[in-house]
Amino acid sequence: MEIAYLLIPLAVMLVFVILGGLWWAIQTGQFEDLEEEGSRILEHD
Amino acid sequence: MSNTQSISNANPWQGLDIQSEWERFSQRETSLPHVWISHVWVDHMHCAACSGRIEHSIKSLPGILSVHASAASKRVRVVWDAQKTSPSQWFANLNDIGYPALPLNEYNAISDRTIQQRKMLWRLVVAVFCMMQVMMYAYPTYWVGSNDMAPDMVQLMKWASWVLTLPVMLFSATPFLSQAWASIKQRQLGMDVPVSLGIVAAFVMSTLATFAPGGWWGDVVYYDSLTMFVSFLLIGRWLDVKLRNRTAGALENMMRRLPNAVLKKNDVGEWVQIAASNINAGDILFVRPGEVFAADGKVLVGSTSADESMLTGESEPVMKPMGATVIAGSGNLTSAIEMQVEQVGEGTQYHALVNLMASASTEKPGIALLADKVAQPFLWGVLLAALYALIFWWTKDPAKAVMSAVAVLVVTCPCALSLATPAAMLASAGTFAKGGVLIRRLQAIQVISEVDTIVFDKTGTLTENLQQVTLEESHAAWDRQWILDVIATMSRDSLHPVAKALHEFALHQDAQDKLEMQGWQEIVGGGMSATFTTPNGALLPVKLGNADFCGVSREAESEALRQVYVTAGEIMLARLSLTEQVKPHARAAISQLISQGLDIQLLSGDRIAPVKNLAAQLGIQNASGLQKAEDKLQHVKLLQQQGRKVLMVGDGLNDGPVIAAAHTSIAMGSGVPLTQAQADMVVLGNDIGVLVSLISHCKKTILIVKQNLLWAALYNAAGVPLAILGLLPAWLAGLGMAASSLLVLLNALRLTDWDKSGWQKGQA
Repeated sequence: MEIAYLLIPLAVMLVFVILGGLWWAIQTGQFEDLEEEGSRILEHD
Repeated sequence: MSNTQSISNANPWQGLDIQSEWERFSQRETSLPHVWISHVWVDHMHCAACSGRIEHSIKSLPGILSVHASAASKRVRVVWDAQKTSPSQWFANLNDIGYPALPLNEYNAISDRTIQQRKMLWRLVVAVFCMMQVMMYAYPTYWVGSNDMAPDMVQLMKWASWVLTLPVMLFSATPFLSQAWASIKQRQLGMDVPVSLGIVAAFVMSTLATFAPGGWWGDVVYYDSLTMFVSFLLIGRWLDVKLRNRTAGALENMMRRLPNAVLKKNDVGEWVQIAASNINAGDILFVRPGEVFAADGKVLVGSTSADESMLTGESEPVMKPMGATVIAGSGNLTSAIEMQVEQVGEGTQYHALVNLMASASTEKPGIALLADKVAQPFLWGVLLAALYALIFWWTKDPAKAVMSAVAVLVVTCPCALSLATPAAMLASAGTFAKGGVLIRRLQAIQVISEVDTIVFDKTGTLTENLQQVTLEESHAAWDRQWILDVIATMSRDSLHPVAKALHEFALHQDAQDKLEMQGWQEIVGGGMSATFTTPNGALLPVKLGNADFCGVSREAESEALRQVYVTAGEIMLARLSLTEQVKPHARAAISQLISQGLDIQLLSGDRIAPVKNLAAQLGIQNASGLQKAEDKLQHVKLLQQQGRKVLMVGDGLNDGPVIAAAHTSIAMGSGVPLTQAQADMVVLGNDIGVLVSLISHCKKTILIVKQNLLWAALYNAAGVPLAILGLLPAWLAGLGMAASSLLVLLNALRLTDWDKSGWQKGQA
């Protein structure tokens, strides 16, 4: 069970990494326009 | 139109090139100087290909940094440099490629709300995510005996939990903590004070237990209860914000409609672009198809059809021949017209509508005021109960004492109590607004649910607005066309349905309503009088109205027909007859109301025979004609003395005192000018059947409010004693609190489903 001493702090760090990632995603508008982006590939550029 | 040439020569969007104008739909890009981010609304953008074309063509212009078009929301976001280009240039470009744009003036308000809602969601996400992790570390300790786990493992889990609780305390819970702090500074007791006390106490106790175990605070941690509690609170808040935004969103959808710039005819007859805020009554505007009317007015040249669904709730396009009234906020559908402005800004129906909804959403109904009044002593009671729990347990077990106090604070969190009424009322008001029923006072929902007598104060509410007019006879010695001109001119400015019908009729007979007249005046329940100049130059005082008003004998009148006379002194210039038609659903709706045990009465200023005739057709027992405003007032007061709750239904215009005297009132009919309507509720459109479903929905709303209040009361009555006795752990208290709030909100959400014509299904 010694591995838990490593895994618990790691899990806590992982939580903050994930939260940071979510924060970035929301701030950069990844969820702004859910319908539009899927059809962008079909457009001419 | 011959003038279109002069429009395309001048750039019609020049009005937008002033900073104060573009600031209304743009925000500064803070990192770069002179760069602005603008949001515009493009109505014709229907597909991804459209948005591609828009982006492609705008991007190539000088001074445009980036463009993003979204077909789903019909919005385009343009980032541009004010030193190299101006809004008018890319607006013109959009227009040239076939996508005329409107500045999205309310963008700033909308984005404020979105940001607020997003922030709330973000707080919730952080809280829930951290809560799940904390639960993982708390879970083993629920089941394992104290000696089964290594002590330093337990300690490590406590530290990990503490680290994960920090974001919840420092970020997610800040709305509650800061609001509680603000209300303490103002020496007031807000809802957030007990909640925050509970959160802080639990956090301090757990922190002490983590880093300095063994004191009087014991070594039990409550991070699980704490994070769960904050998460539940935030779920409630988030749902609340969403519910409010949904109502506000309906409002803003309407606000967004008015154009920013319009084409106005100047002194030399050219079309020039002016800002919509500079329109004055009397201006002549050019409105192209697809545009929105910026002001109330009359069609001067051309004819078109208009989409008034925003304002009337009726989706059928309305024909607008020359001389017809167009309303601000409605859309011009088929062809370009010139219009003369009659009302601008605050004076328009559209503005009245927006104000009406805005005031209803901020006003508190009586039943909510009651909840507020109860809240203060209730909060003091909560604090006292918590203090009592603390003292009660202190000597035996200080740790348990604190946590029992926390449980009291948490379990009584009066969210459910404070949400009970507004959630239900707002849900209903929003639903009504979507169905074309506007509420001026939320209080009306409560009153209507208790009504037992409905008084219709006009026959026009039950009959079609436009009546069939026939010119029965006209004086042989006078020019028939001149008489029709007189009728058209006199009836032009009256709001009375009969006058409107006469005006319509005269215009159809090619009459002009622009004759010179002096001293026009309208006598309620009689008619109108004015002085005209005859074709040969003499002054002629003319009366237009019923037989008594005009001093004519009623001999020629049949029972059911209404007669209108035009007289000049002793001479009768013309006699017209009007036939009324009962509205399609009126009979079914009235019998439905009667079967619900409501007493239906009809008070009309009309002559007795037609009123009785109409009442008989509709199955109304109690009908009286020839009622003046004073008689109606008397009648309503009499009913109230008998202990009845009276609802007045009419056009809400001429019967101010009666409406004020009645318990509540509804104005209905598509012709109702909202600015003048005094009623508590306004039903747009012509369907009398809405009344039936409206009343039943009001009853349902009040039922749900009562359920909510009862639930909140029962829950508190059960929770507090348990918490004081220490039988309620903090996490269970949090769960109970959240469940009660959620239940109240979900119960209120049932009200968003309103079937306007559902009452007919019970018929058949």
